[in-house]
Amino acid sequence: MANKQASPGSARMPGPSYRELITRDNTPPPGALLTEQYTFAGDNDIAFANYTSQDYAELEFARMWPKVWQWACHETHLPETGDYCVYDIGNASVLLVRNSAGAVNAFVNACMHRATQLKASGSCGFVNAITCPFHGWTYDLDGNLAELPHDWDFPHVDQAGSGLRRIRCEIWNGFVFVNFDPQAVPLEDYLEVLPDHFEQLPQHPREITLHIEKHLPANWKASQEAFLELYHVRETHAGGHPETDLAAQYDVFGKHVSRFMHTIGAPCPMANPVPSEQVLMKRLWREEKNWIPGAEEDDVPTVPENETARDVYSALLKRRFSETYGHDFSNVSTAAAIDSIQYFVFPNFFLFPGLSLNIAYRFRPKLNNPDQCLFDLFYFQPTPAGRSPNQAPEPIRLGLDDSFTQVPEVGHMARIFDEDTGNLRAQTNGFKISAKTGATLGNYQEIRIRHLHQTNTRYLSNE
Amino acid sequence: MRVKLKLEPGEHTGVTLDGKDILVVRIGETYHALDNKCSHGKARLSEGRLRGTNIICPRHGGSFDVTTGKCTGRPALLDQNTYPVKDEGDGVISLETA
Repeated sequence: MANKQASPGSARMPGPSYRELITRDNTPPPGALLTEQYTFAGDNDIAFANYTSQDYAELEFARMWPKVWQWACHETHLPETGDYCVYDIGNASVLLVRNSAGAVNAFVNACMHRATQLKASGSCGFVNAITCPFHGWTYDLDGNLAELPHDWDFPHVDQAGSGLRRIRCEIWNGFVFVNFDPQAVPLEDYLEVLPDHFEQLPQHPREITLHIEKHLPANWKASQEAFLELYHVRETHAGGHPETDLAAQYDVFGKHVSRFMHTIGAPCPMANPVPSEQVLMKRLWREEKNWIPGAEEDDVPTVPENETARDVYSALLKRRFSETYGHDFSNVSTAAAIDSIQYFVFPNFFLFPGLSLNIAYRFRPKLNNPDQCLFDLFYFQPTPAGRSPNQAPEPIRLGLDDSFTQVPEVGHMARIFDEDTGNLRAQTNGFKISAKTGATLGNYQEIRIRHLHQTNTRYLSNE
Repeated sequence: MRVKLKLEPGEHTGVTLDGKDILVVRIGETYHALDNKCSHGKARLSEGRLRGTNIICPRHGGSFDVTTGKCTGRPALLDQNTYPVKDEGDGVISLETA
């Protein structure tokens, strides 16, 4: 049994830590990846009612969602003047549109006449002006009421004061965020360490190659918690084999930001005997080679003596990326190039900044149903040198019972996403049949879940 | 009816033929032609933006697949008429609008 005398939260998986492993890499990690920030935050159970209660969900809609910065879209959804897209959260709908000066405006997506929703939920498109389809009240791209048909009948309407209602909108690193609270802190402050850390990580221009919107049969928090920890990897993805455990680090940086990082291509911390670097390379090639442009099944690289599979694989990936996209990736650290590094921003934004694993997630309640949510999955790739980024693709929508394997572009990750989301229906059922009243969490590996609930509680308490 | 027209892949334009307002779009190597007036709000689709094979109406945001004329996005509900197009080479295409 584990040592019960040690101070809670201080125990770690045996074997070398993530930090120890990446300091051995031949292309050293930036300071951001060497920082560690963990504090024991209690070990009480998390009430199942946080997930299942309609009242709790309503409280979130009243006190949390209107106060937080939410990732609404990416700049590449709106490359040109007049491009628009709609971001929906619960019963709220935001119309984002690029104006003629190149700025992105966000408006309440409803006409000031009789409130008709101006653009369909989840839609993207292009307009010269925002015209209500009902009676034709027309707004310019800055939201001003530009045309009021039959204005002789509306002497009581102050046209200058009848523009679309603005919502706070700020952009970080190409990601467009909105906040319904006019008093909210600036986005850069809300993001805590994120801007500083990302300046130390690969900085090339990016474009979205794939967007999937998957309907999930679980609460938005429960769904994203399946992606906040790596404790599940051994059972969910690997049939319980202990040699698949990962050297992982978990950090909580402030009120909103947390992170995990785990190695790719290093041996399991508890492996005994430790496999040779060539064996590790074979595994790496089998599981990860699809990230490398042009990689062939039989091209398993040879790991020279005194080098590691991680470094050899990372060097090849960086070379192929440089050739394919025309940017110089040679200085990217081994860890930033190939590891699974996942930042989370409360309430629902996940970003992996790596070269190979460059993806983003977002989880939103499905309308106001506490038992269902929408999971947006985005793949990024470097924008090739010499051209502007492609416009973001339309989402591919997958239903409750659809599989990620139905979309060939998801590639080798499809099975993993199916496994990650495959437990959710059972967990939702379990919340309602359990003999307990709350979820028990690991002190270290599940700290980010506790942090999510603690931050949520602070918003719900109007802190 | 023949018309001299040279579009690059992904480009579109409006032409008037036999008194009809027609949208011509080139997708890859193939030209497509459909009614230019949106079946929903009567705005001209040629002033809209092409996204993949969808043309988006600039007035209300309805969209249509230019390769089939099928309505692909609300508030539009009705499909657009399409017309056979023949590429005769040298930047000349012929349209049958009858």
